[in-house]
Amino acid sequence: MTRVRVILAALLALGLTVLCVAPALAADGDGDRAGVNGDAIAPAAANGELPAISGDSPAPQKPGTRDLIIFWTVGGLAILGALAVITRKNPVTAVMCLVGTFLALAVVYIMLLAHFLAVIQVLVYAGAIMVLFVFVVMIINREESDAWELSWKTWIGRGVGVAAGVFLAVRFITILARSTRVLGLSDAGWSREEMQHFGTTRAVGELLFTRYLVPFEAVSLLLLIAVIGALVLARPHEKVGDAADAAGSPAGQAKPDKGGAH
Amino acid sequence: MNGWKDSLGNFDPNALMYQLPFLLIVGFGLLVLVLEAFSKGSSKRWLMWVAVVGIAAGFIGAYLAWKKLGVMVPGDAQVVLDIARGAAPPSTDIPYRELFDGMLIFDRFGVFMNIVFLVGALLTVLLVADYMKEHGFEFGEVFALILFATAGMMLLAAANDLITVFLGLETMSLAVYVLTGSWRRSPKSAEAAMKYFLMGAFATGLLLYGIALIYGVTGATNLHTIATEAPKVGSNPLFLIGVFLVIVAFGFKIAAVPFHMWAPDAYEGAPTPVTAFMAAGVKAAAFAGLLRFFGHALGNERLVWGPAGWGSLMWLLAIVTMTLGNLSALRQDNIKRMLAYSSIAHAGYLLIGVVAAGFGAKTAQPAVLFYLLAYTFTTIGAFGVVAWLGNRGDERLLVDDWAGLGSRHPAAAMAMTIFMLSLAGMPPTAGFFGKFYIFRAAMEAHQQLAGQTGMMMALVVIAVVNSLISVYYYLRIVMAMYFREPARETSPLRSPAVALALIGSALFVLQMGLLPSRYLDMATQSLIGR
Amino acid sequence: MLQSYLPASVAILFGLAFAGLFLAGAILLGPKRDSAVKLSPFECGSEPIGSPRVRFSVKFYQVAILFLVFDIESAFMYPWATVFRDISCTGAIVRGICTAGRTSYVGFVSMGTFIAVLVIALAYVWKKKAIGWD
Repeated sequence: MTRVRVILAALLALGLTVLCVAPALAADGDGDRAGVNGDAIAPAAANGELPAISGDSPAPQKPGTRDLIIFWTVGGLAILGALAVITRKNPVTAVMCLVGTFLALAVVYIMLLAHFLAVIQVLVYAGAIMVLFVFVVMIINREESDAWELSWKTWIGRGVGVAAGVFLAVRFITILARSTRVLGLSDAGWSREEMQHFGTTRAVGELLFTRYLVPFEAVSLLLLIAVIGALVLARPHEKVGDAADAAGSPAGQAKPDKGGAH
Repeated sequence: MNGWKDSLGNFDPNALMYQLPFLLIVGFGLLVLVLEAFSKGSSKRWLMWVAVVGIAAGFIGAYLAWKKLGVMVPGDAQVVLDIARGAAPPSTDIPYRELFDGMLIFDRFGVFMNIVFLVGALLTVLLVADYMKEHGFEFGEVFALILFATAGMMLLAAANDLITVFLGLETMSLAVYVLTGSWRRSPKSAEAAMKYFLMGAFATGLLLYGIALIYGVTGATNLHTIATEAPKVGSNPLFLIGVFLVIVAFGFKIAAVPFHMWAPDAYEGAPTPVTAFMAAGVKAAAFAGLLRFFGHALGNERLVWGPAGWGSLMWLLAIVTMTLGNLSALRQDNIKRMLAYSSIAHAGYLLIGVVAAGFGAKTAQPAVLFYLLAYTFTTIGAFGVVAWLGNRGDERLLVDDWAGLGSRHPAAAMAMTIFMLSLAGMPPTAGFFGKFYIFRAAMEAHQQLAGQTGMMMALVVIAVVNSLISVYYYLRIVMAMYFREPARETSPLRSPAVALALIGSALFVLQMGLLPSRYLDMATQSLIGR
Repeated sequence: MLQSYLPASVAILFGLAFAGLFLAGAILLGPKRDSAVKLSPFECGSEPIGSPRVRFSVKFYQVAILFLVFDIESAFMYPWATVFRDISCTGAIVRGICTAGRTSYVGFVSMGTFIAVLVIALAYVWKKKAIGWD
């Protein structure tokens, strides 16, 4: 158990180091090199087909070795973190691994030039949402020794899940491996100025307040419902112990919680 | 960056006119919330009337939007202005308005769906107040949540972009999750909310994944851009996976059979009026989204699954859903569970309409709309009677509990009989014509296929057999009510609001069954624009 | 453009390095003389009673989700602030969409509506006394 923790801590430290070094390393590359994002699929939409066909496209732009190293390190960390989340039995460890995954993903966003998204990823996901996760873990407070019951049904479920995951992964890898052309941002016909503009807070604002104005306003309604839901579902019981109410005597009622341990 | 060019610098306030039902419902929802927080007194029952006024205002808004869409003809000053600002010119027969950079589309289809949602919300609001009082979990936010869920459904019905589809679906679902778990003393309600939420969140994840894949391949989230791109990328495996995932996600929302496992528990555990709202409103909204994307935008697109493209997947889904839903309903003794399985089976019948619409049957869209309206009245009415009969601590959900109701409460027994006949699809009720129009649309699709495949024919035959099976379990309740001795005392809710809802929906079910042409005309005028 | 991350990276690296330095110093240089008494959980000098795991109040969850909602709200304000002059037609870059000399209220109204809805949320939370502890 301790060894696993040490390994996880080391991975986290490695992740943080990469997180810090990665942008700095990428920074001393030439700024206008097109292959910053080795794997963007979205620009393929410009000609409506997947990168599988090279045809008369401009000469392929190889991403730099440094970018590849950073990408594979960060991507690997994200996957390792995600695997740790679903394999760790201790929920707090799992949540901390999720933080590592989110941080690694933030670096991936930076490599895709989605600067605003990267910052939001760190602030909202690695910050606020993880606080919520930790609180929920504390509230539920499952005993560490509680083992999950493994029946034959669980194993069938796992088998199906693993098979579906493997199928999807194989499909993705074969499809992506067939693509001979590495797409860069230059394929979208972007000038250097546009590339520098892409993904900034301003660029997000320009889209959010023109084309995506309706979704933006709808989000406020969604947040409002979340607030109401949290208050309605988690408010204290007004009248405890109603004898006439045979419909329910939930467990939570029997044990009124004290606010916080001393 | 394209959106920047047609900025909203000259924002046209007329655009809000089409959104009037949505805006009114949201506005009244906010009002209810503020009144709930700032009013004194423990009983919040009077907020029901605020909500009812809001829904009435929503009906007026829908009427105005309907009129405004109706009178629009090419050459109308407003249309010219819109075309000048980048909207596509409308075709001569179906007026529509695509606004907010194609995020929303307003046509009579959307308005008709809004009316269906408003009917569902109105009946639910009338039922829920006294039900909560009887069972001792009153809280005023319930009315705001119902209104917000309705607003989410309206957003979904007007969505012309996968982003708005997602947001509408989430707004609706989030509010309904909370409503499901709102009976906090009942462990079953908590279990229902948990299952519904987990499955719903899972479905949302699949939907997002599907949207991401579709966007990755076509470069668009706009439904019509996707439809025009689809022939070019139709055989792309990533696109197919994306479409498949979207079908699965909607399958969860409508509780189609491989994805239905949450439904019986969630329907049984939720407070009965909320169950009615889930069965009618949420399902109708999901079908609005399905019709827009699959029945219409992708309608002519044959993806590579079998002879009918995506339709063959939906075809299979329809058969499995109808059959398994009906067979499982046969074995239920709990009325809420029975109605839950019945609602699964009805999703199967509705899927026939979506498949027929995909094959280009002109009558399919109106048939689905008519069915949804009829089904909303019927199913909320049926759940309403269930809610009406129960007492505190004794919900009276077993079929045996209903024995002898015909002699004690003849009016309620009569209403329940009407709803059961309508669910079974027997004349002279709305359900008969609902099924009839759906089957007719399927036969039209069969003729359009001109003997290439007998798929639609098979579908109709299976659906008819299923309808016959379903008669058994619907009539079982009727038999218990009229031909068995009363087992014990009943003291149902004394509530004018509940009585109003039950009488109103029973009358509408009868009227739609006796004089269907007016409603069918309305549905026929409500085609999807563009 | 990625050069702009350099200062932040340096700062984070320094933070990590210092934390690692002091941790390593404490581990390597500090004396370690463990005994059974020292290793036992400390609870005001008495023997620990029961499990240290107590259930937290669900109020923590409420506070966390309220924080999250308003955090997301503020996250939406950054992009708005950067383009406010443009969507109000007072900015330098108008790209031929705004009539000269006229101000548009789109920028004000769009964020105003968003905030108004969430102000109602705040008022509701406030009246329901979910912000205070009791």
